[in-house]
Amino acid sequence: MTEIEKEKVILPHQAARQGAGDQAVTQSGHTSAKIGGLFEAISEGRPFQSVLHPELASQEPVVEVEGFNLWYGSTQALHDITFSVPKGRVTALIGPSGCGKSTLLRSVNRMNDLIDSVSIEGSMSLSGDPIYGRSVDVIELRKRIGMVFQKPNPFPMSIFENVIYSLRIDGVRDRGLLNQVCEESLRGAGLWDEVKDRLKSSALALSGGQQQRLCIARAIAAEPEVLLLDEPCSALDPIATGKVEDLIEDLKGTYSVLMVTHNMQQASRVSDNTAFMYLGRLVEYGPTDQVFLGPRLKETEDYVTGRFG
Amino acid sequence: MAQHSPRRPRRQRTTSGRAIAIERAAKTVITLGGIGTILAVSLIFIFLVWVVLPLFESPSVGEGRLLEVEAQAPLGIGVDENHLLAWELKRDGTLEVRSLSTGNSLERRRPFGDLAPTAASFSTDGTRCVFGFGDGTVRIGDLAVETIFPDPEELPAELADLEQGEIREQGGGIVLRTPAGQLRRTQVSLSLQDPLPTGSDSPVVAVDHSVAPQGLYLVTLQANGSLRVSRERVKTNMLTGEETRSLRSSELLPADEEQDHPRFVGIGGLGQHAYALWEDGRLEHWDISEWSRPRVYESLDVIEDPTARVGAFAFIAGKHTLVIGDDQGGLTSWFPARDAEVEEAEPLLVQAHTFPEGDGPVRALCASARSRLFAAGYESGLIRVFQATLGTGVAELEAPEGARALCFAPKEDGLIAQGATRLMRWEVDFKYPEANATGLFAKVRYEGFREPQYTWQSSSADDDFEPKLGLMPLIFGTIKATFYSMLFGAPLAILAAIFTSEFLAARLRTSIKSAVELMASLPSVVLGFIAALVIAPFVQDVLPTILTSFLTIPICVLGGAYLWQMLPGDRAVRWAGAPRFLAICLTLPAGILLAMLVGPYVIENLFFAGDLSGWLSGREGSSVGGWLFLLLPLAALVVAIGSAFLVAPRLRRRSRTWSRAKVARLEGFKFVLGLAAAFALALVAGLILNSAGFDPRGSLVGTYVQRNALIVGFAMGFAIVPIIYSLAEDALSEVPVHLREGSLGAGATPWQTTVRIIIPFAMSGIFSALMIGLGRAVGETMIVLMAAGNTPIMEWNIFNGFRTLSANIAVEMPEAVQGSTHYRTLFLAALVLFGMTFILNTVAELVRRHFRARTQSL
Ligand SMILES: Nc1ncnc2c1ncn2[C@@H]1O[C@H](COP(=O)(O)OP(=O)(O)OP(=O)(O)O)[C@@H](O)[C@H]1O
Ligand SMILES: [Mg+2]
Repeated sequence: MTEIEKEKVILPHQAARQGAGDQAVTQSGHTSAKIGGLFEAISEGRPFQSVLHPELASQEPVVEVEGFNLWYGSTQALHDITFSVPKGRVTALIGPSGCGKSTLLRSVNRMNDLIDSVSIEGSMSLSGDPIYGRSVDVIELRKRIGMVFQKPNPFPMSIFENVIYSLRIDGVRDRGLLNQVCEESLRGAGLWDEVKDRLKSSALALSGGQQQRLCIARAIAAEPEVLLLDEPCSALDPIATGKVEDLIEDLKGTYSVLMVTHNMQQASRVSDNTAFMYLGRLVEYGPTDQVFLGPRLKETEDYVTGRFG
Repeated sequence: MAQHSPRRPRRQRTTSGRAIAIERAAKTVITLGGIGTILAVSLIFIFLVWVVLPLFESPSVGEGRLLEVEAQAPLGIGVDENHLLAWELKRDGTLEVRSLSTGNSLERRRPFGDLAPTAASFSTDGTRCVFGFGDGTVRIGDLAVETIFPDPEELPAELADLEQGEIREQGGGIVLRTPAGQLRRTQVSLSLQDPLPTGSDSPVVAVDHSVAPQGLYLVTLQANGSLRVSRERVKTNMLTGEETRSLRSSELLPADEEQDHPRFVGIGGLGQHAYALWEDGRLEHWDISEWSRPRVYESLDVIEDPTARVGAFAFIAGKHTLVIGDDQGGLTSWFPARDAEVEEAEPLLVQAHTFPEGDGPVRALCASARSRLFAAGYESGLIRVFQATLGTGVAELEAPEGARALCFAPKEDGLIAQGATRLMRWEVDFKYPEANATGLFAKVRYEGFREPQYTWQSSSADDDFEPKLGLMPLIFGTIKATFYSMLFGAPLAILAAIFTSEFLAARLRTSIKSAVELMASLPSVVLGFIAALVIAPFVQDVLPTILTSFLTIPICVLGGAYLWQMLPGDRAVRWAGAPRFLAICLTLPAGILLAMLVGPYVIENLFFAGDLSGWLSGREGSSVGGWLFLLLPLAALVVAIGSAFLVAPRLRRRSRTWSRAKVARLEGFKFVLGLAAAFALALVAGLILNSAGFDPRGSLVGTYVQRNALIVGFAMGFAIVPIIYSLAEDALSEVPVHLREGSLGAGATPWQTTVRIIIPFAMSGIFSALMIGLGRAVGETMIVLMAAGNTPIMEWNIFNGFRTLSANIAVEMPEAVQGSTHYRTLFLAALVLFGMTFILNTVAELVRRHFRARTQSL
């Protein structure tokens, strides 16, 4: 337990300090000297090329991102991101806090449309269909993508209704089908045994960890093509985290998963590919074992080994 | 921890005195403010209760005082308003005036010389009196208690040292020094006109009179059984200015010695009704409004018990209600009333009340001149005071030797009773007998009403008018105003709030919100006056268009939505921003235009026999069209639900693989079909209801009055929409963004998200918004005052007016006499209003908490 705890506590903490200290990075010489020249280049806005491992080219993509930029008002949060999420695999997004992981994830199902000030450039596609485009029906798009948020967000209704929400909005009334989907999804999320006797009670009465697994169950009940997970385990205890990791392991093959995590161990354990982001840029992207064991860039190595900051 | 830089002082670990002082001050101020608010509200409440409570106090009767006098059954008695003296007209023709403090005889005179009147009639509310004599003549006179200020020279010297407030018997009256220092004498005066022949020389045995604006009316019964009505005629000689009076009479009953003669006679109202009452309870009722051609209205038996004999008969003030007492103690009241259902119905007598039975024969009856109180004296000595309208007993007194004659003091603050040898007098305070819980909140059979009714009518031009203080019509008006205002305002405000918070871009949202909130700053008096002077006449002119637009606007909005889906290609998605908003805005004028086109011609001719206002007033047309119109929304709802449960699942299964355009066409087709189905359903329901004899006219709709609930609904909508909108919008925007994202992220449409997630979550806030709007509508005064017509009627008819509690208080408070029943009843109206809003707010808070608890853990 202590292993994981330590990882979880220390890394985000350090990352946060680094993120908050953006200004310091650019201004005080000794910090940049310590972590090397690439980060300095990024923070100064000098052009630089993401390092993409060639092994990825052979994998069939489900989500393709091409030259994607995103602005919150006039501040740019994503810079020229180009990468693809391979089909049937788990892709992890890592990087210090505030580097744009959530923003990138939310761009995939156009959740950023809800924020008025957002403007974008570049393109994304889901199984070949454009995601951004004037004639894309966002509702239909989102039905193909499932999302689990950083903070658990169960709806104020019963556990059962939460799980089958996507079926309800599609107008499914077949009781048997609903029950079946509910059970399968809850089992998939490792929550079935805990809640099977109180499916009709309010989802808000669940603990934070249970709520998060409920949200995962809700997401997989819709059988999406891509599952987006934004730090799904940040509110969970190690046992629940283990369950979710097992779940992600099980989803491999059937679902394509794009997940954000601050837990290096988790990334190395469950993901097939890992992308490292820094200040809105994709720094290095490759198979997980390569990124963790033999990264191309020293900066990536510093980050994944915890020497960063 | 890192070393502190030398420049930064260490953080203090104790809270500074300043912070503590501010904290304490803030706490005190807030506590005081809170307590002050609670106190202020409680004080208002207590004040209202304090003003209202006397209404329900029971009357207080002072100790009875006995004066030994020598008395017989008199022709009449009276008392002055300060309880100084009492007069008595004896059967032997003597008028005796007595001091009420000592019982001393002040004056004894014989105004008729040697003659003794055989009958007499006195007004309860005036000075006019009529006396009948043994030779068949009558004399009209004025008997009054007058106060004069005698010339001090003429007064005896011992009166000079009379203290202020002290009284002295002098000169046939009572002298008193006024606070201003003058000497004032109260005395009785009687002036008489010359005898007038009635047309028969048989002795007059009973007489009654009524003073009408056009002259004096008389009914006289003579010993030979002749019963006549007469009218006094005054002729003025042009040269001398001399007035000659005569009586013109016509006969109701001819002289007939054989027959039983009536025991009592009476003339009702302002000389429209004549009554004769026989001892066995037979009552004959004539129409004498055309006095020269009297006509029998009816003849009825007013005493149920065949063995009982009539013992006493009197009119209640105003001379409409008759009170009849019998020798078994029974007491009933009657008045003429027309049947409102029947056209040109005759005013026939109805029995208003049966009063509790007394313990012996009724011997004396007398009515108060000020109100509908009357007193009944029983042989046993019991005296009961009743409220004639409500039929309730007010007070009970005991006169040891029975009362031969009774009289209320002019200010209704005393009662005198004359027995065989004694005069009794009581100081009484009847308080507010006309306002008990029944009178205020239940149906009351007021004079002239065949059935008990809820009535509010506090004043009238009539003199002998009885205030009718039933609060129900006002409470009803308040509820009606609130209902119709909320019917228009609430859905509009909630839908607008949903639209702006869920479907509009944030930029547009803030500007729309401030625009709507600006609406709230319109003073309600301006709204009321625009409603009354501009909207009301306008709506009356274009009523068919307005009514039709209630149907065409929703149809246009929905139809527009379906058309939008049918846009070719992906335009529906691409134009989702400003173009769609513009299109939505265009549906409103489209609906109005459609209403203008079809309303006055097609709809009015088809459904309302070509004349909507004529149809509404029930003059023409069958009720089918109206039913169709009213039931259409309901039918549309039924069709929508039916299609959602029966048709939609099947279609969905089949259309799963269809293209978007094909589905849109199908949906559009379904809409048109559904509309037709709703029409058909409403038509069928209308036909059935019509053939079953039901008609919407007279309940929900009816005769059109220019200022009505529809107008108030419009105007009040302006007042409550901004409040509800603004609060509901806040509640909706406060829904955590992660819930909205979760739902949208799962592929729900914004509408599905709104219905399934946002509204349930924001329910407590939306409910509060509605309740605050409701509270505003309940208490709103100016708009209803100006636009509601202020007729206190109880009808749900949307095209008729009403009067609310608040408007009534505003209208009548300035003219209510302080401390009067009316005044206190207005305070009671305020209290009821207060109670209504209080209950409303409490229920609202409870419901809100219930909703709140469901979502609290988020
Ligand atoms: N709604 C917003 N409006 C403006 N700026 C935003 C908004 N959301 C995020 N940002 C900015 O965009 C940048 C990226 O944010 P993002 O949430 O994507 O970071 P992250 O990598 O997910 O961080 P963390 O690991 O802490 O979740 C941050 O600098 C943040 O301040
Ligand atoms: Mg994040």
